[in-house]
Amino acid sequence: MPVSGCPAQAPGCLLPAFPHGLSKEAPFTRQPQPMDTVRIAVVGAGLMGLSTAVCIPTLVPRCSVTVIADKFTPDTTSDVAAGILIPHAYPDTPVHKQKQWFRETFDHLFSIANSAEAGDAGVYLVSGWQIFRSMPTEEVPFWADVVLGFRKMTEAELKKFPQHVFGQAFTTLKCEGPVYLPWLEKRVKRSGGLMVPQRIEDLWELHPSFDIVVNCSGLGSRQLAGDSTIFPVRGQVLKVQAPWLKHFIRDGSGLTYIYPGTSNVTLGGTRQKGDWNLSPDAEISRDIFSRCCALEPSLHRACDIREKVGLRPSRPGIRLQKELLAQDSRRLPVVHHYGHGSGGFSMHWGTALEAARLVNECAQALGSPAPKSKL
Amino acid sequence: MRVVVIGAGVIGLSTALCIHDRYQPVLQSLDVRVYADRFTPLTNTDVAAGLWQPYLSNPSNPQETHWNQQTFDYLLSHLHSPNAADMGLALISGYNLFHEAVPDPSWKDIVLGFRKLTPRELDMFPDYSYGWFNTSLILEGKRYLQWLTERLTERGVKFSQRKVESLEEVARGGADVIINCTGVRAGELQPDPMLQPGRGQIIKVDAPWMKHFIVTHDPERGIYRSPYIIPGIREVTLGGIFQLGNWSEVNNIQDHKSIWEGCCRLEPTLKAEIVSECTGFRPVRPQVRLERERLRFGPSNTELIHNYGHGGYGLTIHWGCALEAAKLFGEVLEERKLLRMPPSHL
Repeated sequence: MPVSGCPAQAPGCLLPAFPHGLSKEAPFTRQPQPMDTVRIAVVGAGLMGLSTAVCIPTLVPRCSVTVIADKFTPDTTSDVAAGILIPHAYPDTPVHKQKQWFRETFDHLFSIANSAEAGDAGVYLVSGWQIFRSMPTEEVPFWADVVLGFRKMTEAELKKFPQHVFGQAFTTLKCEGPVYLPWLEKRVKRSGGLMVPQRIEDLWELHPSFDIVVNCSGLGSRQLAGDSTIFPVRGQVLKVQAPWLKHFIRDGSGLTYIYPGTSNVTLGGTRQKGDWNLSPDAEISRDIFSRCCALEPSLHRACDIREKVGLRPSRPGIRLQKELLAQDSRRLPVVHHYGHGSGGFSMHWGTALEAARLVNECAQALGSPAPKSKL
Repeated sequence: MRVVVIGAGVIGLSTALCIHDRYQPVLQSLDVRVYADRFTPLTNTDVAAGLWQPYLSNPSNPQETHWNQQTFDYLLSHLHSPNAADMGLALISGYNLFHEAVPDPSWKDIVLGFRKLTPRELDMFPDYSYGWFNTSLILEGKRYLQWLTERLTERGVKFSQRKVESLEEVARGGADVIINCTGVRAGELQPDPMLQPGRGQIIKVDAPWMKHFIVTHDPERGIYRSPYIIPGIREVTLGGIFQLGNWSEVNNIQDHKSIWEGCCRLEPTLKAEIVSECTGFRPVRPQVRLERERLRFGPSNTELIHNYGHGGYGLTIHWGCALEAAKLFGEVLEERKLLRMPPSHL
């Protein structure tokens, strides 16, 4: 996938306030800002970067937001994901937090799904089944009362899946990356935000052009934040044409799933820990197709099959944390917002709101010339 | 044995298939032909949205409940095969909405996962205060008719496009048994004051994000007179028109507005592209006419089996009726001592 923008800077090199280099919009240059504007850089233009960039101006008075990334939609990891709202459990994040973030995300997307914006945002309702080959330890997950109409499947419904003994039926939301991300970009720009295609090798490049940095770089945090706890979990999926499918089907293991979308159906998948390979594997594609056909035989008639790979930015817990970088006399407040693994879409709005709150705390702590918030 | 099926909508074609598959193995010779003046995509079946859903109130003929169930079970059994999409068949879930609490329908245990709507679900539909959620089936008329035509053609069933002016003409042409599947125009062959057109108009839009059906009910206005949104395989059908006695085949601008406004109010996401608009006539009758009659033209007897008057639930009930028509056909064969061996058990 092409990397657009300026040639990479050597680590440690300070990016001048008005840098050279070509890019879509002259990087970091804008109309002169009033003295008390908090200049915020969001690193990463996937789901987390863009939703945080949308949330920040609603919480932080007098700020400017610049999203800087080497990849924009449709080339981000978020574009590969099916975007179905079924939470993934994080061992290191308290359940009440996960539930809060999921609920905030669900409620937010639910109101979009029921509005005239739904088509433009790529958000809509979908019903279906999560099925298990053996009784799950948890028959009612923590998110059961957040989705709609959650209940156990009936015997008659389970007949459709002879290999499975238990299932849950519910209605949830699907949020389609390739439509939702451009919609978020529009919202960022409408509130005065800038998009800058540029690869950042070191967060210090953003000093002193910016007052606060929000790190939404996903797997890039291994380098940018020196975080060795984040690792890829490779996911390969197929996008096929099967417009007669109206329901999602997910095997409780999370490995096999069928998610009908607006313009295609996503078939998955794989969970390959530590695998960085972005090229699709034909053997794996055959295996995915075969597993999905076993759940839904009508898929044998699917056509126009395309392969995609995404690397889930996996971590034992989502990192939502302030950090004050210090080097000699320089200070750079950073808000980390990354590590959502399989659960990005399910949690994004809740965690983006929290990240924006942390950004606001940083903004308040900046002291003059940054104004104290009147909140 | 020469059988002529008059009518090439879902009733005619499914009855032809059912009779052929059941009796071709046990008869010395079976010649089945389909006569119709309109074939897909010009039949009323082609206009139907295709949602499996009987009327809310119990049918006056309790057999109809049984036929509905047989149809659902038959279609469900086909869902698991790779052919489902070829047949125009798919599972679909969705909402039935009401202005006040109503009793559960008799078909609640036929469909899958039937339940009442939760308060949060009802919040999506501010004009309604009560409702159901269930999983049912879509059987798209046009695709299904094409599939039935292919199956019949494979079996050597002949199709003849012609306007049948009288049953006598078909009888004198050599038919031993006539199956009358002429739907809403059955009255042209034999007057039937109980049969009336229930005119419907629908708009098809391109709205592929819609995965659920939404059917509203207004007891004051009556069935099909309240907006409904039914996604098909590729397009979404918008409707809400039911005009008894109206034979106008022309799309009406008032009806268009009524459908469009009603459905957009129901579903605000519907800023969708209109693909087509059409009119059809539900063959409305107090109950389905599914019975034998003996015709006598000159020296010969011709057996007649009527199978028409399925209102707005033709796709919903078709297979049960086809099975019943086949059973009546079997009686004819037995009476004429034509069977080599007993017909295979239902």
